[in-house]
Amino acid sequence: MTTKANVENLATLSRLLLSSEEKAALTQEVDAILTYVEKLNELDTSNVDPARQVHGVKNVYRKDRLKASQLRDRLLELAPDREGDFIRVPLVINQDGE
Amino acid sequence: MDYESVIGLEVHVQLSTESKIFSGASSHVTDKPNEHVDPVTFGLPGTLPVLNEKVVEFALRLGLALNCDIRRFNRFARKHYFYPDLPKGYQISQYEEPICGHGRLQFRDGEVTRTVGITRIHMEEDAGKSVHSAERQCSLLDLNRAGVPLLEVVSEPDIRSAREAAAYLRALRQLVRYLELSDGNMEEGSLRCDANVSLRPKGEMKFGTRTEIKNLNSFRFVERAIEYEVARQVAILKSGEPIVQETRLFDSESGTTRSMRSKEESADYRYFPDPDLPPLQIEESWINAVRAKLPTLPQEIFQSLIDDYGLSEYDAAVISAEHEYVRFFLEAQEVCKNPKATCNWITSEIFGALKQHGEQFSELRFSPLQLGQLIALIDQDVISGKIAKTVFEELYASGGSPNEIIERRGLKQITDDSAIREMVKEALRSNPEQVAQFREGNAKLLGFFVGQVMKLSKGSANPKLVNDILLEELKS
Amino acid sequence: MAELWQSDLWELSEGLEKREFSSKELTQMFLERIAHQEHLGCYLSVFEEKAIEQAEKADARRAAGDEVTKLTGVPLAIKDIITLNYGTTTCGSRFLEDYRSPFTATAAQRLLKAGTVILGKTNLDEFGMGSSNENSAFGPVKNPWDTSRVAGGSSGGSAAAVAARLCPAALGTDTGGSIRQPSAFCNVTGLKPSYGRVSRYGLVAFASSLDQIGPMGKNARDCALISECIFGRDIRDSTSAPNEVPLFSSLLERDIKGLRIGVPKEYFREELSSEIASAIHKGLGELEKLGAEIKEVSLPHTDFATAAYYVIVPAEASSNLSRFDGIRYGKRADAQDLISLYAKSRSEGFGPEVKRRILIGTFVLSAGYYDAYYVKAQRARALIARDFEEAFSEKVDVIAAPTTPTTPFLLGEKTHDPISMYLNDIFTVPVNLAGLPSLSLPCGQNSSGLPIGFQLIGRAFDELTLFQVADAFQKTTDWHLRTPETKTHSKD
Repeated sequence: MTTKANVENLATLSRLLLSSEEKAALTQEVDAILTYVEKLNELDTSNVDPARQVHGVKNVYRKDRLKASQLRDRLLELAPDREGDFIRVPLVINQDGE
Repeated sequence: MDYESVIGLEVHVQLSTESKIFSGASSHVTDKPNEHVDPVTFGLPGTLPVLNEKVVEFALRLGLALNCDIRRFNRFARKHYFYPDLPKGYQISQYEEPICGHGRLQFRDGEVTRTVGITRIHMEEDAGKSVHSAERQCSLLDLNRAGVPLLEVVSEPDIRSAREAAAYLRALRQLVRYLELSDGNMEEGSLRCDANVSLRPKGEMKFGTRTEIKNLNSFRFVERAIEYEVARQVAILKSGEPIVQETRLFDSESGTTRSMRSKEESADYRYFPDPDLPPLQIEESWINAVRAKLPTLPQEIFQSLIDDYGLSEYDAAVISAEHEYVRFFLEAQEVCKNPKATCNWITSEIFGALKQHGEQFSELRFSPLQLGQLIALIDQDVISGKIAKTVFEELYASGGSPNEIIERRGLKQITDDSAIREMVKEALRSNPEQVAQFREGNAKLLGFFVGQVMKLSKGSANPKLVNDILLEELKS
Repeated sequence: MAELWQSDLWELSEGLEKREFSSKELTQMFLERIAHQEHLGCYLSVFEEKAIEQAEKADARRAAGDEVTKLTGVPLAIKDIITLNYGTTTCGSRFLEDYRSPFTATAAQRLLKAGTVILGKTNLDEFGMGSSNENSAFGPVKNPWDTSRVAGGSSGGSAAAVAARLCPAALGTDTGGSIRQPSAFCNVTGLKPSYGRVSRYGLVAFASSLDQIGPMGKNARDCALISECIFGRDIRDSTSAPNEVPLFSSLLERDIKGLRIGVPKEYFREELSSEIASAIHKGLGELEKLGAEIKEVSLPHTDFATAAYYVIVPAEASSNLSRFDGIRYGKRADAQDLISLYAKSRSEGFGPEVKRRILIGTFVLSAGYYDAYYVKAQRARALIARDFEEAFSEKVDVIAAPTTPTTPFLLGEKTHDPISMYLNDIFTVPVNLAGLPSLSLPCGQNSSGLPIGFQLIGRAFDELTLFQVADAFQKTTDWHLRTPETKTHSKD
């Protein structure tokens, strides 16, 4: 059966680990949902700009001022694993970042 | 077959704002890990970004200085990838609608002036940093840098050599420093550079397959990495193999580049407009205000130093390298009206002293006005060049008025004819043998007598007068 | 204290003002009721101590003659997707089971500043994703009108808590109907404000371009009172709108004679249950009696709203939920390497509907599909918004429509069919796509006694007219006063 989306690739891309049952069910569901939303293709949108936002608010800025947070300790307490004030994670193998 | 290298640079400029791009946390550097953090930096659920106006101003400043078109309606997009130092799982950046496009940077590469096109400039947030420990199998995460504002400057593939790439980067660094929007320090990562490199047969218009080289954190590395990469690609092409499109990492120890990841596992960033940030509509008035405040740019200053101040190209390049040198030069020469001497004093005495003391130009304890006065005093024969160096030592150490230093230390040049004649006479009296030898034709001894007189005057006698009077007295 | 739980906010406020009872007594009464009704699953956390503390403070404020508001000392509940700097904020997710937010959402902060008492945090579909509250990691909410049925979602906990009188009013959030649909299912009045009205700071983002916090209560005038407090621009949310907030509570009285009410023909379709259709028509008849002019309008792109919604919403959700990676907070699974740390933490932390939406969202944003799905949906969204603009610009002041196509369905009835679950939102999602305000209010009961809701949709930032029409309606009808025969009374 050909499906619209490769759920396995999508799961990898979105960092989800799916059991084979989940994969099977989700493949079907995702396919059904995509089929449903493809209803949009019936719509002629050639002369319509995509909605940017609904309420026209623009140009919202803050001044370049320091606002030191009093919450540093509480933030660090949230971390599941720490070493001193660092957050500890398993070794990052591909150390390239972006 | 002869190949031509086609090079484009992507440069990240870290902006020297007080606060982060989307929150009030400090964007300054600190040694303490996770010190400059707040709920936004941590990407806590429920937090929202609020744009720092200064970042937009800086983007406009750089965009205008690079002759870019300002996109009047621009907005932010989210770029998705998972990495521990990227708190939200996406980076807020600009994608389809960057703030600036279609600019150019003119710069000197040795003797020639080059122009490289600027494709775009966009605003984005920086990620945090991780320290990796292979033996302990862990990485330690510090989010101080996460959210610090960046401008990414993407060049057209107009660069043709490794040396030119370095020259372009130097010019860009010089520019951001002139514009006072970044310290441009490559070692500390305020300026980060990736290079896209491809080859094509000379005369061919079509681009070849390119590689992207990362981790170029000094001008020298940029040059070396590109040189290596070009040679590597030439070898591959000559052997008849295709170039693989990939990201490569420069290893500064070996001077080589190595493959980092192949394109098949290449990321799909899933960009889309960030719904948390309203679009920006840049008003004409803002653009005009930023334009009005732009300083004179390096290329213009370089030309003016040659045309208006008569400096050599070499000297003009040295002075125009940093805006602070230019300011110092202009203010000092305004006082003494001697641009050449001003330039020499800056490039030899000041730079020499700074180097000797390991200090920065910004730390100078005297003003350009005081240097100008010092040079004027030499030009007016109030002091000799030699005395001036003594005055400069004090000026360098603790600042002050050159006139006051000269007065206080009695360094004023003796220009009184009779006083010098007295000293000359004494010098001749004390050295009858040398006088006899001179008169027998040993003209070289004149220097000896000058030295003697200068010693008697403690260096303050006007050397020209000493010379004249000595000759008179010796002949009589 | 008899029957105080039946009082609305205005009456409670008056009682507090006249010292007929204290905030502490009121709070204690609600805490006791909550304890007796745990089986409904309305609350995920109850702040016994903190609430009493807040009540005592409110009482002290009154006693000292300090400045008070109508909400000072009034207990409320808030949906557990809105942060407080105490307790947990779970969002109905395993991933955030123990998550303690260090900061308080602006909307909650404004309530606290006004002196309200927060009783606890209400149950919801995980991150707001659902229409039945069955997607909560901590169990569903049962409908107080029939505990074999769903309370609706995603603000099911808030709706059921108001219906069962476990709080006088509550905050919910609405992305595609999450305030209005459970309000309709539980016989509650709920407002989805215009996009930008209420700060989203501290609202855990589900679909950022649609999410809004709003009030849910016994009637429109209570919703007006809460709106007055939580509306208004917030510098911490760049999408919050600068529009002036009217003093709703003093502007409710209005003769709606001559007001033009549009009825969109596209909403009266085969999926709409006939009992609901007839209740809506009766409701419209009431409004007509009050002098309103009822007109048919057309919103021709209604049919495409759900499709557009189920592209845009998963896209934004997949992005917003990327931050839940197990690195800085929340659940971190045991893992030797980073890739499996991510994948395991997320997979163990998220429920099936969340995963479904993440996958869909990832798909519609990925290279090669972005234009065909995401951009296409945004174009459709523009058309849907334009439908409303056109209806409002020439013909009508308010649009009236059913809130839901059906009355509450059975627990488990739709859990295996995501699309039929999604279609429960057909009448509510267009409003979110267009960013408009919409209020759902009780207008009848079906033959089995299940509540029916009807929604009023207003022009952008015109919540005032909605309150006025709803208030006028509620002055002449008593549907909103009906309560389920809960077991509280029979039990003791």
